[in-house]
Amino acid sequence: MPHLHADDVHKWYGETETGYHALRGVSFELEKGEFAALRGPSGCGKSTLLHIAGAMDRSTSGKVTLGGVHLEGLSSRRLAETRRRSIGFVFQQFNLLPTLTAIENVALPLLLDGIPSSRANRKADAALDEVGLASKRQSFPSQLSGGEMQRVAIARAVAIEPELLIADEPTGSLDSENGRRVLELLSRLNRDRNLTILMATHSADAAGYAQSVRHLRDGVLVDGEHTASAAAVGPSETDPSHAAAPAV
Amino acid sequence: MPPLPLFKQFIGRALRRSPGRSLVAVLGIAAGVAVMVAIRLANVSVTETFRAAVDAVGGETGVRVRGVAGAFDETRLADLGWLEEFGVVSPVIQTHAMLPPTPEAMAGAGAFPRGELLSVLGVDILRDASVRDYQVLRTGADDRQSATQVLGLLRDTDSIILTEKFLRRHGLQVGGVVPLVFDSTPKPYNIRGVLLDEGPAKTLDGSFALMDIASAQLAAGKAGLIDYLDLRLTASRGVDETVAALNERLPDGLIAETPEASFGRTDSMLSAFQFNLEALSSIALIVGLFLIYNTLSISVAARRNEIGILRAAGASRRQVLGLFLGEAALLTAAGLLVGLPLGRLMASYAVQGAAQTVETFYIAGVAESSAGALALSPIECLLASALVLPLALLAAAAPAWDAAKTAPASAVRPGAGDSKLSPLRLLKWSLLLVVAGAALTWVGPVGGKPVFGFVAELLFMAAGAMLTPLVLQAACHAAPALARPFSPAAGLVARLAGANLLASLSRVSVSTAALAVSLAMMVAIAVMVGSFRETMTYWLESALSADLAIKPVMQSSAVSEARLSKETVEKLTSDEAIADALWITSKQLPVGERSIRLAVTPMAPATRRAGLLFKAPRGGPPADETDWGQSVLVSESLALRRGLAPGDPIDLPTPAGVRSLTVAGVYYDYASNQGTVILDESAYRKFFAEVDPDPTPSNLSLYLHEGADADATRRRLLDSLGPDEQVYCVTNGEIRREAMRIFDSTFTVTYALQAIAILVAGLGVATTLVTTIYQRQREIGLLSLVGATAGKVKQMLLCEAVVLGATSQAIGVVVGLLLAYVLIFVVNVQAFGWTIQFHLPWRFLAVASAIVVATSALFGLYPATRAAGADPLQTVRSF
Repeated sequence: MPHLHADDVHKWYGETETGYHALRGVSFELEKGEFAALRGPSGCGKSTLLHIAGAMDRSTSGKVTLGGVHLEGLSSRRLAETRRRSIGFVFQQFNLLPTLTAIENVALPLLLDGIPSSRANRKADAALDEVGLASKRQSFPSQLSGGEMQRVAIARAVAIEPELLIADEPTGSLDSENGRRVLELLSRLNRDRNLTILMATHSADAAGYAQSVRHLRDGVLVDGEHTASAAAVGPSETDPSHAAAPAV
Repeated sequence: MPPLPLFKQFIGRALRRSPGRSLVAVLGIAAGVAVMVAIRLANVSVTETFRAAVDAVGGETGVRVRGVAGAFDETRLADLGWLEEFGVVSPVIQTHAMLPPTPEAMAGAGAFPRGELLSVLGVDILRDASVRDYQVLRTGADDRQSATQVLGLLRDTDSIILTEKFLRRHGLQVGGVVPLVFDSTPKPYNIRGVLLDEGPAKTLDGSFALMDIASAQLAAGKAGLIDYLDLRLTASRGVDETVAALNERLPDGLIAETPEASFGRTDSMLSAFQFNLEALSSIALIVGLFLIYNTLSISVAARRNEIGILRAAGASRRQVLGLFLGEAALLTAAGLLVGLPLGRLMASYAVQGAAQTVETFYIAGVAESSAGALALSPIECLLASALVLPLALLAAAAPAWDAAKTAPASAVRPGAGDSKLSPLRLLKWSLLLVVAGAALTWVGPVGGKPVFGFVAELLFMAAGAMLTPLVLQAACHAAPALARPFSPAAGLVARLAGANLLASLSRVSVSTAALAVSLAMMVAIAVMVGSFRETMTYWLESALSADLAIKPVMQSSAVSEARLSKETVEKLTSDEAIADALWITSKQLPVGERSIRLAVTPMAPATRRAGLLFKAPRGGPPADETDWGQSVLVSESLALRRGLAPGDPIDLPTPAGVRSLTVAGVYYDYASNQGTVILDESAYRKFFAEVDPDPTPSNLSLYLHEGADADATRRRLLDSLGPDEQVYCVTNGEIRREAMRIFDSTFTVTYALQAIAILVAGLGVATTLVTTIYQRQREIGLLSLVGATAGKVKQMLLCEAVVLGATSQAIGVVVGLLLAYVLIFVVNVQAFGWTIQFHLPWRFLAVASAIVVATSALFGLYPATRAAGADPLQTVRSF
């Protein structure tokens, strides 16, 4: 049974028929421990699909199942609980809370889940250690570089030990060196923790770290391909843009 | 609920990061709480002072027997020996005396200098010792006196016992002499002893004196009379049962009741006044709640992206709702912490005004002592918190719910649009509320309080709030056309401003509506007070027809019964400049659950000269057809309370029993809402002969010969009376000024509320603008990127501030006039029984509107300058 399963997913913005049809019957499957990339031009519906798969948004029709649970059937409260316990997010803009230190940002979803702060802090410490930022635990986002902020965001995403990690252009705001380090980190987490990852990216080079790539165009999944494991291949030497697509 | 560490991190730090915004909300709530608490404490302290005095003076009294018309002939005691079967009986004279004003006070207090009032109890000490608890010392040393010894102390008619506090306050001591005025002539009294700070002496801040009953009768001009008999019950039956049993056996003209009943009569007069004051003070609280709403709105708007992150990280709606409601609760708690002690502080000023008004109109002798009774008890703090906190959470609910609704996706897709709003649908609701409010204005008062009138006011305010989106929409569309004649650039700026406001109509409408409601209340109070003032001025012009008015110095309160002596009246009326004199004497008459004022005057000349303004019949009762032996005039407030019209019968309690008389006319009276019956002198002599066979005036109106100099005549009259006769002798103009001074001091709190409303109007515009700017940072940045200068951006935002201020004021004026109409024709009529002529203060409205629009622009300046100065590239990049 696939770990993440989308079946004929449609998404309309605004009124059906007259509004914008962002996803037009998308179906795909992701196995447990799979690192998949989602590629396609701007506006093709990548982020929309990620939001629906990550329980951040609801589809207009169709079914999405995560670990056997139908997300459409969940109440808003259960969706929040699913995000809190089962899904980690990494965004292009890092999305750290500026008023919280690195460790507080990482501990945030744990605290929201009612875990006592001492235990949450221990877990957050371990996650920061895992991304190599133990020394920056008390720094505020404004005191960190872009790459460091994205690694804090990844630590926050994995601190809850999620079943699925959603990454939306995780290298989009980073230079090539930092982009490479982030992708290597994701790849390592996928390998070490058997973590399922769905990553949207413009970059063929970034997609090279994934085990499979899906292409989305105008809200439709056009094909899928399997690549070699990131651990085995790494970024393409032939793609000059590789991981660091400029910010839009 | 959100976990505490998260609350500290997410809310606590954000509050610390913007201390200015938090401070405005905290101070807003603090000001609201302080005004509300101050008014409430002042009211409670006045009522409690009076209640404590009634309780302490009542002592162990279980039942009180009095004449149906007040005092009764002491010879009737001979037939009341059977009362002893029920308990110990103690006859009492209760009156007031005044420590004459010092020469400094006389020189500096205008036309009406006044001294300190003392509550005086005249008792038969041997009987009374078992009813009341006295501890009398003969000297300052600790030699307590038995009742017999105290009787010895009071054997002379000029003997008096005063309290420790009073003696200390005035530097007096036992064995010394104190001058006291019971009417208009100060007389020396020998201080024979000192009452320890216990029992009745504890009340009224020590302004209490004890006399032998015979001495008190003489001093108070009540020779041969008893005010009431206090019974300390010994029988085992209950109080109510005893009252019923006594009323069965008491002869005509006497009635038994509980001591509570006399308190209730005064309290019911007072409650409408206090209810209105408290209702008005709630305006300040509404203003504070508005600031809480605004602060939360800004907080949510500024942190929309962060809320999205929280939601994406798994925060449920309930947790986000909890975070922002927690923020509101924290700000409110801080506001309460500042507001409660501030309220206590303000209460010391408010109590002086409130107590003075209460003393002027309702209860003699509370002004000095009420301030001493001020106390902010834990119960009052809890009551205030229990009222304010839920209201603040209610005010915060809309922005907090707005935050909770934030989609997790907005963390990565900011700039969610404004929610849909249908101005036309709201218009329908608004009209519905107006109709419902109008219907409620027809419902009568509840227990003398205009409850439905105030509910109608709330409905009209809600109707005005619902009208806001439509008016704002119209203003946004009209703004370019209005600005274009100045310059095409101004037209463009106004078009952008209008478009911006329309884009966030629902959000901006709520703030504008809240602002409009604050302004509506300001307009309503201004129109009501202005109308009342105009009506008062007109009434005073007519009512003050005499050239000089004279009353005893003791008559510092509308409920005083002090009179001028015959000799004084003779001296005053025999002056060569006097063409005519009109006298009036008044007394308090207990009628059912209230007291009314009985005024006695020779009716024929009074209706001719006194300048009474008649409500019915217009022009007054026909002089030659009215039998003044059987007819009375009633004041409007009494007529409205009792539903009386000319020709109706009215029952008047007299010592000889209840007399049924006819209402000959209803006249306007703005001097007091107590309710007055004017009875002809001849009828009074007939009905009240037993207790007051030869009434002397409490007020004397003197009409001078043509060309006589009022000031010179006054000096001559006062000279003829000599220094020992203390009377107020004032000209017509002085009374008018004094009346208007009392009027203005009564409404001082409303002027303070107006100032707060204008200030909040400015703050409201500033905070609303800050909110919209946070929501539109990207658009503003883009505008700069495409070439708009910082000046143009600033002009655009200032234009928005002006549109918001002008829209709020326009709605405020229309709704305010509607509210004023209800205040004047429903609330005032039901609470006080006063018809006020509606007066539209055009000048005030024009000036206030200009001030509000200018203040809005002024307060809009800061956010506009800040937004115009932001780096556009930075702003656009940040999204």
